[in-house]
Amino acid sequence: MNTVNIPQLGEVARAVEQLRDVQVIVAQRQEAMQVVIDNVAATGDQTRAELQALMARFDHFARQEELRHNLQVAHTELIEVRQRLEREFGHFDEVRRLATGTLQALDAGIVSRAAMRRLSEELMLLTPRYWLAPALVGLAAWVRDDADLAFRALAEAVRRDHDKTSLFFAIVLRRNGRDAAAVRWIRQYVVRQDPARLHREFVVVLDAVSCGVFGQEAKQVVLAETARWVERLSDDAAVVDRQVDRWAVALDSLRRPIDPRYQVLPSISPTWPQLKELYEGATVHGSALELLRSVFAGAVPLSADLRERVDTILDGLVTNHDAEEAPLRRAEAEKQAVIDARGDEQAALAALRHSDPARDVTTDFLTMISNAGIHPEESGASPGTRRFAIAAGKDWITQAAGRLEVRNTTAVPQVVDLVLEGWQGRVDGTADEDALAADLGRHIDAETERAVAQVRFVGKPLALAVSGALALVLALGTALGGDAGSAIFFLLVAAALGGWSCLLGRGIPARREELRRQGRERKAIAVARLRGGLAELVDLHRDWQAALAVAPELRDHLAGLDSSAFALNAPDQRRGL
Amino acid sequence: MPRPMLGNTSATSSRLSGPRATTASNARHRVSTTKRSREYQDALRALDTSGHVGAVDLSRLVDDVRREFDDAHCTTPFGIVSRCYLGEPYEVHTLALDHSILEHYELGRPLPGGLERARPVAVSAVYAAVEVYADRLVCVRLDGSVVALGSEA
Repeated sequence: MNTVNIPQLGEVARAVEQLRDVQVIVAQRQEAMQVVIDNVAATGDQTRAELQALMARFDHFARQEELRHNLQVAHTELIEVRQRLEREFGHFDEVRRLATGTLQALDAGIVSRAAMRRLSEELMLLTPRYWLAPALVGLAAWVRDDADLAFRALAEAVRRDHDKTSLFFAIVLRRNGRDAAAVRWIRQYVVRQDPARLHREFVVVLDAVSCGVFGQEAKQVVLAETARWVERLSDDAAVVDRQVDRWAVALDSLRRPIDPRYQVLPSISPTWPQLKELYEGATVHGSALELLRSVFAGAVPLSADLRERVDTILDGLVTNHDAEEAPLRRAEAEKQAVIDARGDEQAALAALRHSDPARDVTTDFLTMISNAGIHPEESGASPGTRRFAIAAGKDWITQAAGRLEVRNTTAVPQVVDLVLEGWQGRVDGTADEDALAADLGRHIDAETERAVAQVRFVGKPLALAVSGALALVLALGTALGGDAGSAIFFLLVAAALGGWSCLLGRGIPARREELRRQGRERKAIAVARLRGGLAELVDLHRDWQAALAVAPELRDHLAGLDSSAFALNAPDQRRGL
Repeated sequence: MPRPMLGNTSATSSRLSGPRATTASNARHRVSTTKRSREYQDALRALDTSGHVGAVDLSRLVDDVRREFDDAHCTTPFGIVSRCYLGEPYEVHTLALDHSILEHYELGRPLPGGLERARPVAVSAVYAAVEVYADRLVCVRLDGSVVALGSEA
């Protein structure tokens, strides 16, 4: 018969106690180890993040350095190009100044004809190949009534640059009230032009028409001829298409950025970039309308004195860069573009390409009108000419806005996707806010329940409980077998294991409750974000419709423009004067 | 090389394939961009209910449509695509001007002969119809004004 004495039982109980202590220590060490592992992982993440930040800073630094270098080089080269321009064409400036100087001296009558002759002939010697020098010699000869020299000088000027000379004398004669002769010059000039290859100086003619510098007859000659050109060139669909495309690009650059109050939708919808593009694309109509209104607001600043107006136009003609300067002017524009783009050569190239047609040496008449409307500064068009050009090109602008509108309305996404908290939803024509919110709620509830279900009476507590139960069975078995000692021993083991299991399983309901509470919070926040996002979607749709609704207004505004209304009458030929 | 046998060419598929199939004079390549007339718009609207229109009425409507371009001395589109208001399952209908054929298309059924590219615009409620030319589309707004899309469209 097996007997267990009390001291032995005491030892077993101590051993179990020690075992428990050891297990507690092991569990504590495990926890400490876990903390260390977590720390190491966190340090790794932090190191990676710091490395990435360092790389980003390095890239940024390298880019800044590159931009700085480009900017420096562009500055240096710009100075060189300007020096070359000054060296090779700088003396043109003197001749140019002499042109208006001579005319104004004639008005005042305070300069001797001999001085005029001497100066103009001197400049003739100093500026070979330049058309304006013989033209001024001719002008001085005309003033002196030296017909022979005037004719020879004129022939030389015409030989050097027929068009500019014709235009120069047309304007000078008009300035001096010789209207009939001015009309002959202007007619000669206009019929010589090829509307498919006009030189840049033609914009001076447009200026003269829009500012009312030409007399009634000369204005009609220009308007009738240009109307024929427009009709002829408009037969070529490709030429018209080019203008419409250019206006479309110009209008598209007027986009307004989306309101920054849209915060939730961008964070929950992968469709956001399309929605943003859609809205911003629709804003061009409003911006274009505003631009048109500002261009046409108020009166064009014009002098009431014909002579002052003519001098402005004449300045435009003589300072308008000549063809031989074009390569250097082009280089100058390139360097300037790099400086404007703070050293970013790609951006500079893009900007140049955008305004390229305005720099071409020759253009067709339709492109010239577009240039005057889109890039008035580059093409040398005055504010009055810009109005005239926009009114003349209104059909292209209307078509361009129409194309942007078609592109915009056909880009409406059929479905707006939503992703939040691992849930995916979509808004289409039949979507219902409550149904979407309920679906999201169900998704989060299901996730919460899954998380709650993970917190179960499994693993170590379950193993301890099962072992405890086994010990209890053994205790019962040995007790029935009459072995009181073993029964007590197993009973103690069962009690110890059961106690331990209870200890471990005690926190489960509280943890479950905590998870449920977190789930409820998460659901409330997610549903609020979803509803906020949907509200923003409704707002965005309304804003988009409002932006697009300006399109007909823009069309009406454009339809109301009449180019002939922007070809002003000369101050000496107004009715009632 | 053997001569192709009669009937083995894809006559039906090339029926709508471009200006060769139209009766427009080669001299008139200009696409009309002026506002479309009231008669033209009425004819387009009438086509939508033409599930019940007889052959005589259809040819009269087609004549109205053709007259719009003939009067302006402009090229005639080879097809017109419009949104269909007959209801499900129909989405758009097409009028092939060369053969005066009107056909309604269900959602998802592709349009033949280069007309499909007009579909995205035609289904929009902003446009009454889309005229399809060999190299471009012209969208007709509800008020009759038009937008000619470039040759890339």
